[in-house]
Amino acid sequence: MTAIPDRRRTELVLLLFVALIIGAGGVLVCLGMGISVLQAARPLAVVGAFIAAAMMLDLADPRRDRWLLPIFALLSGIGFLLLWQLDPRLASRQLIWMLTGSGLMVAAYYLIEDVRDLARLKYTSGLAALILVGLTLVFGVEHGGARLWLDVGGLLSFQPSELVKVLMCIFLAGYVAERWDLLREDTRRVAGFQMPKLRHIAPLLLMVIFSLAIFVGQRDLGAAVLFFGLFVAMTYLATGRKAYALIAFVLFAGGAFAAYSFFPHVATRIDMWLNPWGEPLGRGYQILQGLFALAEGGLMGTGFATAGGATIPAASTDLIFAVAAQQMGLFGATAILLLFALAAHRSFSIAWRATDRFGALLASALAIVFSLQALVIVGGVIKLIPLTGITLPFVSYGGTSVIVNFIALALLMAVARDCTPHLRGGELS
Amino acid sequence: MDLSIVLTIGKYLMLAALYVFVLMVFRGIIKQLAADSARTGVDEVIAGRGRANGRLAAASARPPVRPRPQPPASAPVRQEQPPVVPPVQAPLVETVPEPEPEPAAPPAPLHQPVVDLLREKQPAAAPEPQPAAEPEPLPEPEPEPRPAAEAVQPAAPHLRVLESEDASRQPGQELPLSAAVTLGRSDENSLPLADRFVSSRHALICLRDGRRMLMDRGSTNGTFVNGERVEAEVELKSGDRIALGNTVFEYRAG
Repeated sequence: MTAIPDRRRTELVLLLFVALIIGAGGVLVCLGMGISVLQAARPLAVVGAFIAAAMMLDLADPRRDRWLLPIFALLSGIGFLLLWQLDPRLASRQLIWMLTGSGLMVAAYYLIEDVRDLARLKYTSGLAALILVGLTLVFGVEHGGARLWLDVGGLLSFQPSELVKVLMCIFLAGYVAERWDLLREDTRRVAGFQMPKLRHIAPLLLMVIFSLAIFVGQRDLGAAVLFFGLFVAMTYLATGRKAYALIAFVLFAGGAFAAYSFFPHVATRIDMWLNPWGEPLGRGYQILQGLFALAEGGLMGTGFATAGGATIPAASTDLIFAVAAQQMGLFGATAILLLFALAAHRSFSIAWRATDRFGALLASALAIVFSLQALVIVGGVIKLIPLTGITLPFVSYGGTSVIVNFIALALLMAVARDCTPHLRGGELS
Repeated sequence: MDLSIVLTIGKYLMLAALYVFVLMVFRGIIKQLAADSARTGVDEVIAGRGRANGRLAAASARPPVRPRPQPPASAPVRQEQPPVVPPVQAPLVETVPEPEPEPAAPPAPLHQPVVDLLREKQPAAAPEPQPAAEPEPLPEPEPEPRPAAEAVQPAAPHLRVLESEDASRQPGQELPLSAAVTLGRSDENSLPLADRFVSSRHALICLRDGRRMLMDRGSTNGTFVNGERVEAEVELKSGDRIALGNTVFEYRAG
C-alpha cells in the first residue's frame, strides 16, 4: 500500500493531528486577540519542532517508540497557546527553548550509544546532583522568594533542581539495579518488618535526606516532595514490599508535621491550603485566584483568548493548569491529565518490557517523575494537597524545565531502543 | 459571522479533537501492548509469569507431543497459548486438513523479526531425540503456510550442559531453547540454575532478527562466551561456550 511502515505512519498521523489541533487553537487565539491569523505559525512551530525531531530520530534506525512524541507534542502545544495569551514575550522565549530542547533531545538520543552505559555514571551523576544543589545554596539567586536559580556568566539563569531530577533518576536507577539482589535478599527483621541491611540502603537514605534537607532549606517544597516520592517509589520497585511505602508515608507525615512546626514557610503553605479565605488578598491570594479561575472555566471553559490568568500569580509556570482549566474547562483539564496518564502508561510499559534492570528502573523513575510532578502541581492547584511550586512538564514556561524534560524524553526513548531488543521499541506491530 | 460564535464553536471542536486524540493514542497503546505480548511472549518470560511453561521448555525429558485436534492459531496476534513453548505447533500440520494461508507473514521488511520468531519456535518445539521424524512425513500443503524453515533446521537449538553444580543439570543434558529463555538462580526464570555464583536474574537468550542473542541482565559475576565477558549482548554461534557462575553450557544451533 504505502512505503511508510505501520507505526511510523501512526506516529506521523498523530503528529499531524496534533498540528491540526494546535494550529486551529492558534487561529482561535489570533482571532480572539485581534492579531493577524498568520501569527498562528508560532504555535505550529512548536509542533513542527516535534515533527522535525521525529524525522531526525528515524534517520539511523526507524524502529523506536512511536507514542511519546505525539503525546508530549500536544501538551507542549497547549502550553504554548496558554503562555502566548499570558505573555507573548515569554511565549517567544518558550518557543526558542522548545526548538533548542528538541534539538538536544535528538542529539542526546544519538550521543547515548547504549543507555545501559549510563549505569556506570550513577555515582558521578549522584555527586553532580549534590554539587548542583550545594552551588544553588551558596550562589543561588532569589527569584520570587525561593533561591532556586543559578546565574551563569550573568547571562543565563537556570534552575538546578530541574536538572537534579534527571541526575537523581540515573543515580537511583543505577544504585538500585546494582544492589538489587542485596536490597531484596540480604535483609534483617526489624520490628516485624523485613528491612534491607543498613549498609545497603544507607547511601540511598543519605542522598535523599541530604537533598530533602537542602530543598526544604531552599524553600523548594515542590522539589522536596518530588524527590521524596521518587525515592519511595524506587524503594518499592526495588524490594516489592508495600510495607516500605507505609513506613515512608508515616515518616512523611511525621516530617511534614515537624516542618509545619519549625519552618514558617511550610506552615504558610499548609495554613493557606486549609483556609485560603483567611487572607484572601495576602498569603491566600494565589490559591484563591487559581480556584476562581477553575470556577470560571466550568465544564467547557471560557475559550481561548479570554484574557484569563491575568490576575493569577505565577500563571505561566506553576499555575498554568488553572489557566488551562479556565479556558478549556473541566473537559480540557481532564484531557491534559489523561495525556499525562497515557505518557505514564507508555513509559511504564517500556520499563516493563526492558530486559535490562537498569533500563527498566530508569524508565520507571522518569515515568514516576513526570507523573508525580503533574500530580503534585495539579493537586496543589485544585486544593487537593498544599500548593507547592513545581512545573507541569512540557506545559509550564521554563527554560531549564523544557530542556531537561526533552532530555528525559530522549532517555525514555533510548531505554525503549536499547533495552527491549525483542521488541525494538515496539516497532514490531 | 460574529466573532464570539466562531470562538465558541472553535472551543467545542477543539475539546472534541483533544478527546479524539486521547482515544486514538489509548487504543493504539493498548493494541500494541497486546500485539507485542502475543507475538513474542518474551515479557512473560522476563517477568517470570511464563514460569511453568518456561520450565517445561527447559526440561529435556518432555513427554512425547500428542497432536491436538484444534487448528493452530493462525495469526500470532491471536495466539492464545504463551508462545514461549508451543509444543504442538509443528506436528499439528499433519492433522489439519486445510491449513489456510497464514496472514502471519507480513510483507514489510520491518516485520522480519516476527517471522523469525515463528520460524524458530516450531523447530524449537520439536522433540529433540527424533529430529528426522519430523520433516519427512509432512505432506506439504498447497498454499505453503510457513516458510520452509522446518526443512532448513533439522534439530532444535539447544544448550548442552558441560559443567554445573546444580544436581538437576547433569553434564550432557540438553536444554532446548525457545524464542526467549531467562537464566538465573531465581525460580522466576524459565531456566533456573541452582548455582551460588549465578545472579537471581542473570542472563537472557532470545531471538532477534533471526539471530540468537545472549544478553547479560546486569549479573554480579558476569556471563562469559568463549572466555570473554559479555558487556551487553552478543550473538551466539553454534559451538559457543557460555559460562555463568560455575555453570558452563555449549550452544548448539541445531
